[in-house]
Amino acid sequence: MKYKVMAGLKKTSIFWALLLLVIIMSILSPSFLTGRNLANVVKQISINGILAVGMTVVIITGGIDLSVGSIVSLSSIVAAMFAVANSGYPLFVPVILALSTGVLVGLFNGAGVAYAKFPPFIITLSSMTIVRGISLLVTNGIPIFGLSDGLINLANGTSLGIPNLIYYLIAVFAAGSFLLNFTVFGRHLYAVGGNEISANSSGIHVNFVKLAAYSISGFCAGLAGLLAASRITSGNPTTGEGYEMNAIAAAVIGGVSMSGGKGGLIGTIIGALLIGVVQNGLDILGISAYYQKVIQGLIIMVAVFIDIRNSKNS
Amino acid sequence: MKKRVRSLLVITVMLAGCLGLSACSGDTKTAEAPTTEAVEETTVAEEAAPEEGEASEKETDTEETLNFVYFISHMENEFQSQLVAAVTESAEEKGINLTVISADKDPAKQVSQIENAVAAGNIDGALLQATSADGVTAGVQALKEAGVPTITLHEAITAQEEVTSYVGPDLPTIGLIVMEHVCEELNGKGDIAILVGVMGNSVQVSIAESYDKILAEYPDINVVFRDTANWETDEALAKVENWLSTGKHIDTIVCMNDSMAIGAMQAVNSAGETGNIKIYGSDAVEQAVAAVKNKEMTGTVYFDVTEEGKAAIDTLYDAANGVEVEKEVLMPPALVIEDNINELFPD
Repeated sequence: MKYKVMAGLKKTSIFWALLLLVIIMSILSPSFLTGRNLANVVKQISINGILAVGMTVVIITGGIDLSVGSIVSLSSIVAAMFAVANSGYPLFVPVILALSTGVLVGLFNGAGVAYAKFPPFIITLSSMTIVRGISLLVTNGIPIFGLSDGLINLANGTSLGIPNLIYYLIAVFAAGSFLLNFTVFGRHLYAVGGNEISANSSGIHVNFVKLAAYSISGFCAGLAGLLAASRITSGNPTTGEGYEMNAIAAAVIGGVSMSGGKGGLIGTIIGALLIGVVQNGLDILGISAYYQKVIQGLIIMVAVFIDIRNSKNS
Repeated sequence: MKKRVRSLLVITVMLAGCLGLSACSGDTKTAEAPTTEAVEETTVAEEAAPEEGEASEKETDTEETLNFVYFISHMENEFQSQLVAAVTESAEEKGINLTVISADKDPAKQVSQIENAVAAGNIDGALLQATSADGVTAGVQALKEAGVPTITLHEAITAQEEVTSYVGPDLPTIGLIVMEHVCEELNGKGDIAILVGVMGNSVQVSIAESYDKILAEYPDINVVFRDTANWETDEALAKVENWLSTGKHIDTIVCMNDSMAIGAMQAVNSAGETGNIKIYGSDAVEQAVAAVKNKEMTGTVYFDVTEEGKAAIDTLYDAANGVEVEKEVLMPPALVIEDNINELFPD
C-alpha cells in the first residue's frame, strides 16, 4: 500500500512540481493568483502547448520535429497574406491555407523519414532552414500587417469571458488524447516508437504511421502559426524562432521519452504550464529574461533526472 | 526496393522544388507557388546590379568601373531590406559594380567571406555591416592589409581605427531624444517601463546608455519595469501582458525598436488601456507609422535610410578615389509623433 502511494507520487511528480511552483509564486507576488494573470499564463502557453501536442506525437514514434518553429512563421505569413483587410477573402481562406501549409511541410518531413529513410533530426533540420528561408524570401524580411478584424479576433477575442486561445489548446489536447488513448492508430504510434521491427512484423504500416505523425505535428504548427499571426496582428518572418525547443522542452519535462514509445499528453501540457508559469512569474517579479532561460534549463535537467531514476527503480 | 527508389526520387524532386531549382510537383503546389516567385524576384534583383554596372562600364569606358562589396550581417527584416535597396540604388547611380554578401548573423562566416573576397582580388572598396562589434577584427585586418578602403555601415566595430570611416545613425542621439521627450511629456514625474533589445548588442548598449543619461536628470521618473524582449514582437507582447497584470501603474512604455513596440501595443490594446499608456518605438517601420497615425502608439524614431545608403556609397567612392574622408558620417534621427507624422509620412 505504502509502496503504491509512493509510486503514484513519483508518477505524478511533475504535477506536484507545478503545484509547488504555483504556491511559491503566489506567496512571492500577490498579483500572481488573480484571474487576469492566470488568463495571461494560459494565453501565453497556448501556442507552445499546441506545438507540444504535435511534438509529443512525433517523439512517441521515436522521432523529433525541429521544423515547427519555422512552420509557425511560414503559416503566419500565409495567413497574413490572405487576411490583409483589403484582400477581400473570406476568413476561411487564410485559415485553410495556413493549416495546409503546416500539413504540407509535415507530409514532406514524414515522407522524408518514412520513405527516404532520413534520420528525423536531419530531415526536420533541413526543412527548418528551408521553410525559414522561404518565409524570408516571400516577405523579403518585411512583416505583413493590416489584418482583418476576423483574423485578429481568432486569438485575441474572448468567449464566455475566457480568452479564445485557450479553447484551441483544449480542443487540440482533447483530440490528441483521444487519438493516443482510444484509437488503434494511437496504439500503433506507441508500438512504432517502442520497437519498430516488431511493430512491422505484427502488421503495422510503420511508414504510414510515421507519415501521419509528422503530418499531425505539421498541422499543429500550422494552427499555431495562424494563431501567432492573429495574436501579434501580423505575419512576421522572424516569429517562431526557437519555438521548437520550447515544445520539445514541454514534452520532455512532461515525461515523454526521447527514445520513443513512452509518454502522454497530460504530462506535456503540465510541462508547457510549468514553462509558462516560470516565465510569467519572473516577469511579474521583474526578474531578467535571462534567468528564465537558466531556470528552464535546470527544470528540464531535474525532470529528466527524476524520470531516469524512476525507470531504473521499476 | 523498387518502391524505395521511387519514393527517394519523389523526395529529391520535392527538395529540388523547394530550392527553386525546378518546377513544383502537383501536390505541393500551394506551398511552393509563392516561393518560386520570390526566388525569381531575388535573382532578378541580384542580376540588376551587375547589369547596371556593365552598362555604365560601356558609358565610362575610359574610367575604370569600381567594384564595391557590401558585407551585410543579415537580410532578415524590413530595415535591412530598406538599407540594401538604398545602397544598391546609390551604387547604380554612380555606375559602381556592387556585390552584396550576407553572413546570416554569423561572425565566423563573415570573416571568411571577407577573406575570400580579398583573396579573389578585384575589390576597390568595402562596406561592412558587422555581425558583431568584436568578432570580425580578422576580416577588417585582411581588408587593411590589402589596402581596401573600408566603411563600417550602421554598426561601428571595436577596431574602428582600422577602417577608413563609419557611416551610420547617431545612436546615442536616438536614445536621448526619445527619453528626453518621454520625461518632458510626463512633466518629470511618472512611471515608465523599458523594453530593450538583445543585451550586449552594440545598438542596444549605445541607446541604453543614452536612456540612463537622461533618466539621471529626472529623479522623479520611476522605472517600474526594464527587461529585454530581444527585438521581437511576440516576446514583447507576453512581457507587457505580464507587467500589466501586476496592476502596477505605468504611464509610458519605451521600446528600443518598433517590433517590440507593436507587441507592447497589442498587450495594451487587449488590456483596454489604449491611449492611457503611451508607447514609443524606433525605426518608423510601416506598421508603427500606421499605429502612430491612429493613436495606438505615441511615437517612433525615423532616420532616412535612403540618405544613409547614399552617404555610405558617396564616402566610399571618395575614399576609393583617394579623397580624404571624414572619420564619422552620422545620420541625424528625428522623433515622429502625432504633430509631425503627416508631414514626414503623408498618406
